Order: sequence, then structure tokens, then C-alpha cells
Amino acid sequence: MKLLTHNMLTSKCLKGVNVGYPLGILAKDVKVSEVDFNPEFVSRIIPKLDWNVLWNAADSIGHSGELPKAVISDYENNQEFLKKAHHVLMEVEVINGELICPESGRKFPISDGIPNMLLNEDEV
Amino acid sequence: MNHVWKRYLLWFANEHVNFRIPELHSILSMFSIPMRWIEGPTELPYIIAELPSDDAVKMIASRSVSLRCAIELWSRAKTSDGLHEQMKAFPSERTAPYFGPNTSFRVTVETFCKTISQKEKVAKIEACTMLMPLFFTAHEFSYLPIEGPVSLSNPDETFYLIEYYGMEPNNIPDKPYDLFFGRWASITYDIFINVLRHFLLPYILVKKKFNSALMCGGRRELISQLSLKTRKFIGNTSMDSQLSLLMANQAQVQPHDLILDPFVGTGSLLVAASQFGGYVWGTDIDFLMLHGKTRPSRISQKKREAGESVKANMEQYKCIDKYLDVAVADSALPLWRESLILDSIITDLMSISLIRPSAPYGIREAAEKIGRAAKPGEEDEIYRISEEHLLAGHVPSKVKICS
Repeated sequence: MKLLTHNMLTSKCLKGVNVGYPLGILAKDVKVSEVDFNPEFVSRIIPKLDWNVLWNAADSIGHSGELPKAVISDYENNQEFLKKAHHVLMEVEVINGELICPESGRKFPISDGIPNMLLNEDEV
Repeated sequence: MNHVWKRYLLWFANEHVNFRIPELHSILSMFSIPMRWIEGPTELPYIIAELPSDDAVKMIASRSVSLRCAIELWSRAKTSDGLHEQMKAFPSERTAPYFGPNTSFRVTVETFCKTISQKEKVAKIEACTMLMPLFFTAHEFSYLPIEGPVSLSNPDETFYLIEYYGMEPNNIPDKPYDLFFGRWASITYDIFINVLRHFLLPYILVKKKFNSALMCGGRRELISQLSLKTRKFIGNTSMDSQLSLLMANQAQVQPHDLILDPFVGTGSLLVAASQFGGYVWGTDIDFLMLHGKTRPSRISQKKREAGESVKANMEQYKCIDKYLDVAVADSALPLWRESLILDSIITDLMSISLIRPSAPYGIREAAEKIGRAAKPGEEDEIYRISEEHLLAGHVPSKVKICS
């Protein structure tokens, strides 16, 4: 699971959970792999992100590294910034671990990089 | 400047006929290309239309998987004589730019619904190309003032003579119903390769040359490139590559778009969307499917290979940089942040009207959500799964979604 995906996922599927965001991350394995950098895609995705959530998520799995705490102005033209964002969004992946609902504490397992957001039949 | 629209013949592959015109409409609207219909749309494999420029035609060809070739139409008639009459009457200032002494050329003959043996076809093409000066002096086209040299492998211009013999393979007339002549505005890859193969040019060389020569050729080559036959991870209901590409075109996927397939399966639609530059997410209720642990679909395969997954397919087609993630999730329940705005949702789900009202064909996967069918008399009971069961890795039960 990439941190870009984490930035968009919620646990709203649970009964009684209204926001379900942001999900906590308990990472057992984290993998960093190289992904082709596309500055245009990164600049287009930045306005769609919750940057605080991204930074905290990266920090919680020990990969906030050089990522600035806030989006800088004129980020579209700042290759350095876009590269750092690209690294955290696209290259850092949680392979095994858990996502945790902020309201109910319900845990969703991540295995082989794939989060499992299914509920059990007694929860729907 | 007074811009003159030109008339074009758009020739389509005779496959998935119902998607041909919707695909064209999607591409026209995606690129905001205005088009005036002259003939069609009908059940015939071609349309005639007026478009503002060759560039507009090339943009269409850069996306369409239905289009075989597009020709700037100079002459069109029901008989061979009529074709030449029209060609003679065609304003010479329109053809002059392509007939100059420094413009190399070739003539290609195409027939629709009439099989000419390979030998005849080679002979026919050779008669038109190798012996061009002779052809033009001795044959009907002798009136055309072409001055340029012949070039078979890399001509500046290709002139097309297309003969249309109807749609009934069991009832082929001696003479064609319709004839068309013009210069190609955009040719799709597969015809070009076939033509060049006749001249025994090494395939690899041709492929390389052609890719560099063509800025935005048609996309029929993607159909075989993405064929399920050679795809690493497929399932029982993987979507055929041509239909997937058609769907990606109808979804108007553009570079850097965010795409989601909420019933992703083996990810056929993600592969197609990523070919056009989309960044893709997929979710599916089937845990075993996403983890590549379902039974293999290929008759020759007894066990799934290690690493079979949607991600592996994206790697196979060199579009791993467009892969975001897949997740196991029930699309009957909310999953994403409300503020997330996707550019397209492309999916293939047959039996319910959750996302798409209807599907291209047949019933495929059962539509399911997490739930439990209560036994008679226990409707009011509160159902709980035991701790013991949960610890042992409980697999939730599913119920059918009724439309």
C-alpha cells in the first residue's frame, strides 16, 4: 500500500463511524522501490492530498525523511519538492501491517501490500 | 486565414461494430474535435466526414482501437470509370503538394470482403509501386502528374485505392460496389506492417522504423500487445484487450488521470487505462483473486505461479509507474474520502445496476456483498462471530446483490 492510497482511504464502512480518517498505520514491513518520476502527475495530485495526514503517515513509519511539513508555494515549479513528494507518495510501500480506524480501533490487515478493508458479516 | 476543411474516409476494423461510433464520439469530445458527417454512421465499415486538419485525424488515430486507417478522400465512385472521372475533375492545387519531384510515394491497394491470394496481392501492390512510371503511363492513373520517386519502405506519401466488395462473404461480386482513392492522413500500424511484409523486409527493422516515423499512429497494435493469451495474470472473466481499450477510450482516460475500477478482478481495465496514461486504483471483494490464489483459468496450468497479481500485469506491460494500489473491499460500502475526486470510474459488472446500467455481453461474475442470509426464525437475533473463529482467520460470508 502506497501512502498516496492511505491518504484517500477511510473506515467509513464501519457502522457508527462518521469520518474514519485518517487511518493509523502499524507497519511490520516497509519496502522502498524506485518508481518513474512524473512531475506533472505529482503536481496534479498535491491539491487532492491532506498534506498533514501524508506527513504524519510517513513519519509514523519512519519515512518522513526530507519531506517538508507543509506544501510550499509554487510547488509546481520546484523539482526538488516534487521529487520528495513523489518518493513518499509512490515509492514507500507498506507490505505487511495494519490500518487502524481512528474512531473504533478496528484493525484492517495489510498483506503482500494489499489492504483488506472487508468487514465481517456481523459488522454490516 | 480561411481554413478549408478536408474530406476524410475513416476505415474501421470489422470487429465490435457496436462500439465503433461510440468510441469515435468519445474521442472527438475528449479532444474537442469538430467533425461534419458526410456519410454514415451505418453498418458499413467506413464513414466519410469532414475534419479541420490532418492533425485532428492523427489525434483520433492516436487513440482509436477501431480505426484501421484514415484517408484524405480525393475520389469516390461506384465504378472504376467514375472514380477516374472524379479524380480528373479534382482540383490539382489540392494534390500538387503531394506530387512534387521531391516527394517519394507508394500506392497501396486494399480490398474489403474479397480475398486475393497473397501472391496476387503482392503482384497487385508491386504493379502499383515498383512499376509506377509504367503503371501511370499505361494504366488509368496516367493522368496524375506525379513526379516524385517511388519508395516502398519509407514513402513520404502513400496513395490508397480501396475497393469495397460488400459485407457478404458468400456473395462476392466480380466488380466492387464502391471505390475510394486518396492519400493516407493516418495509417494504423497493422496494415502498414502487413504491406511491408510483402516486400520481405525484416520485421524488427520495419517495426523500429515505423514507430519512429509515425508520431501518432492508430492503436490496433495494442490489441495484440495486451492480449490475454500472453498476459501473466488472468482469471475466468478477464476482459478481452480490445474491449478493455474501447472502455478506456469511452471513459476518455487522459494522461495523469486518476482511475478506479471498483470491481477490478485481474485488472484488465486498469491495464488498458494505464496505456493511455491513467493512474489506476482497483478494489475487489475477492481476497483470493487479488492475492493470486484462485484456481488458474488456463487449461494448461495446474497451479498459479508465484507473484501472479494485478501488479505483475502492470509490470509486464511496463506501466508499473501508473499502478497505485489494489485493495480488498466491498464496493457496497463507502471506502474513499469524500473529497477524493476521480477522473473516471471504469468497471465491468454484469448483473446489477450499481455503476454501469448494462454490460457488453452475458453474465460474468456474480455480484456479491458481505452479508449473511438469516435462517427463518433468527431474523431478530444479534449475530456474533466467535472470537475463536476470528483469530483463526475468519472469511466473511457473502450474499448476492439483487438488482
